[in-house]
Amino acid sequence: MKSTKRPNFVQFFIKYRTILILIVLVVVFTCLNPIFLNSKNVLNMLKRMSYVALTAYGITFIMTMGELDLSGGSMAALVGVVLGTLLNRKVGLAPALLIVMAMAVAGGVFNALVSIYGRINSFLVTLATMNIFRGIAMIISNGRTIPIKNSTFAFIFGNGSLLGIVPMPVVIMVVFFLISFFLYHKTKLGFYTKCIGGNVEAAKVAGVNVNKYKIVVNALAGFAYGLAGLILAGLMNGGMSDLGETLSMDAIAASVLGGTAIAGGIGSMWGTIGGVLIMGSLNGGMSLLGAQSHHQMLVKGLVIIFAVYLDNVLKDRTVVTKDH
Amino acid sequence: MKKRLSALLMCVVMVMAMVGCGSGEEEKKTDGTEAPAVKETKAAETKAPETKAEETKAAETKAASAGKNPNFEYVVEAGTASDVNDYYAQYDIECDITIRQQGGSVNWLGGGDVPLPEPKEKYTIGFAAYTTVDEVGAMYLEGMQAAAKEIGIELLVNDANWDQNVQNQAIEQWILQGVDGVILSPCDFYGIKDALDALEEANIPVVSYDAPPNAGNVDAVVMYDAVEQGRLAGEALLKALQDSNTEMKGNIYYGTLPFKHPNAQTREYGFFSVFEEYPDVKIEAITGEAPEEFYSGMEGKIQADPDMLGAWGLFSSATYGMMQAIAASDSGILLSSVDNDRVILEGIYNGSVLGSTGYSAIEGSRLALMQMVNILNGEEVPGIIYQTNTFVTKDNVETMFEEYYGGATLADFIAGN
Repeated sequence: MKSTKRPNFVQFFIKYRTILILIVLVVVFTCLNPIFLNSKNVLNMLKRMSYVALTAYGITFIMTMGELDLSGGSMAALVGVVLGTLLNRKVGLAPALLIVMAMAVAGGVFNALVSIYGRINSFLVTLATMNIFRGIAMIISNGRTIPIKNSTFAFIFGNGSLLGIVPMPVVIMVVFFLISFFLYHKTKLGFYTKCIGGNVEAAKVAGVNVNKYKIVVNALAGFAYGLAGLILAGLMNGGMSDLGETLSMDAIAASVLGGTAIAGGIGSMWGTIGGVLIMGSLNGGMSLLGAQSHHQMLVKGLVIIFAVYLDNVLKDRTVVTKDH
Repeated sequence: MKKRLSALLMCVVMVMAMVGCGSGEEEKKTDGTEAPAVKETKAAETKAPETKAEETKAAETKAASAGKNPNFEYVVEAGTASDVNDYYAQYDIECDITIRQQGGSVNWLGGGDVPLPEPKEKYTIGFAAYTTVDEVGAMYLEGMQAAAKEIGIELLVNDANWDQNVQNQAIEQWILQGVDGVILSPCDFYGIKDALDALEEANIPVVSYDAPPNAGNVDAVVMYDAVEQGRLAGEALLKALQDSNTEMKGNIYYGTLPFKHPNAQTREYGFFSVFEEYPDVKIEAITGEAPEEFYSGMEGKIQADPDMLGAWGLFSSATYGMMQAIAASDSGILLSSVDNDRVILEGIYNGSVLGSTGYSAIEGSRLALMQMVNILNGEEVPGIIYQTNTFVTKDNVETMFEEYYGGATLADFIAGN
């Protein structure tokens, strides 16, 4: 009872850790280089983290359900490659977008079906599909970059901006955040996702159609990866089979950093976007300071360990509180 | 309580690590490394042009303009725009860039001895590398830092680790920081376009080194003739086969990337052209990125095709993996190569590699900086400088090692120093 009645600094930190870490990062980076908070730099950083955010929204659903998905980055690459191929074969932009988004959703459904009916852990299924999707992308592209020269596509998913200020990828990131937030926190889908992740047997006993929700959540995640792939292709002006190699890992890290429990059942979209902002601030801030990729990898690794450790601490605290 | 305190401690460690990483780089900007030793030029080793591209270049060759750099051999007349698009088009590589400088195109004949101009003011230059952690990337960085220190340039460095988004972000930040110029080697040849557009809009000059971008505009390019690199490797293998009276019938296996890369495509073209007149020689690819992939690929080929004619490593990881597989099988298969990583040079020295086409990263970085400073000083420079390719054999490997690695010796490397 003690720990719940007398909130101390540590409890406050654990509860608001995402926003506190973000504030610390912003303060540190701004002190070290004031350009960090320059509006153009902030918008550029947001633009560069937009596709990670989209992937992280999907991952948050998946992880909340107690599953893991490694295939997001490969699907994003495949989407860009297929889109580039279709556009170069004179398919119109709208049908091409429909085709690739349908493909991304189908990829998610495929992951779910193999996992459910093959009785294979989702981690292993997506470990396989991660290779399958990227392999298909390499076969289609023959390892080449497929340039995309459609100006409408470039505007919407690449370097266009709303009112000449806000980059379109940031607009997409915000809109899809609102949709994800609504689905996760305000609908039966979100509620059942947490129930299944919290205790799948209890969810079954309560009459939740677990398989159906697994398929829906994976389809939604596939849609998110598809959007991430479109933005990557837009920013790169082309489809490339080697894009997004670290995307799934970055998204998982951001989601965990935002408080999504790896064991499932717990998560929040606010936390996820907070985790994405932390990852983006780390990348942008360290780049501004001239830190090289190997330094950035080191710090990102420490951040992930820190996040998982905090997750464990939080879990222990919850258990202790319940015991009391 | 212990766990909570540990969590807080970890938080502090991370912030310290971030600050440490940043400040470490600040030191890197100014410390640099020792300037590379000046070596003899190898103009005499430059091969006569044979490929289509070289024929075109040779046809356009004009006398060097008086008063210009004596190490320039003009292949496109000074005062003329350079065009890399047509060059790449011959090899099925889509390229659409404009090179703004109109000073023609030149072969560099001076080796690593690249004189650096005096900057008119203290310039700040961004150096965006696709990587600095392989041997070539490390030498590009080392050469660039030493050269910048030599003439008082402030150098900002970004190693994007093959991530074009990271590179683009760094360039966007440099624009905000007001750099005077950017020297870059793209991670992705098309994905760099937005960053190049942003630099153009900010009126910041750009010099590309290594393989040039395939989209966007740059002021000048420092590159090597990758067709020649492949051709030299092919000619060496052919000569070795002929010297051993081998019947020109069978397979040659070459290690290459699993995806298309302009340097790989052009090197392939050069190598293949050597064997065009031997219809019974088949050239087959082993694809991969890491040495172990080429090791297992080559091992399988040796088992399946023990009578293979020879092998070629299109780039260093391929050569290294194939070299180890050949050594493990004790088959004595002839292996030719491109690239000059230290282990390859050691392989040439001890006879496991018959030779490799090398080029100096230090030379490349100094040429790129020379171009940039001249542009910032307001001078007209060649649109393209082609670096020197040298085929390294047992006869010249020790000399070339010293040239490529800033005075370090092969003997010391072999001794583990």
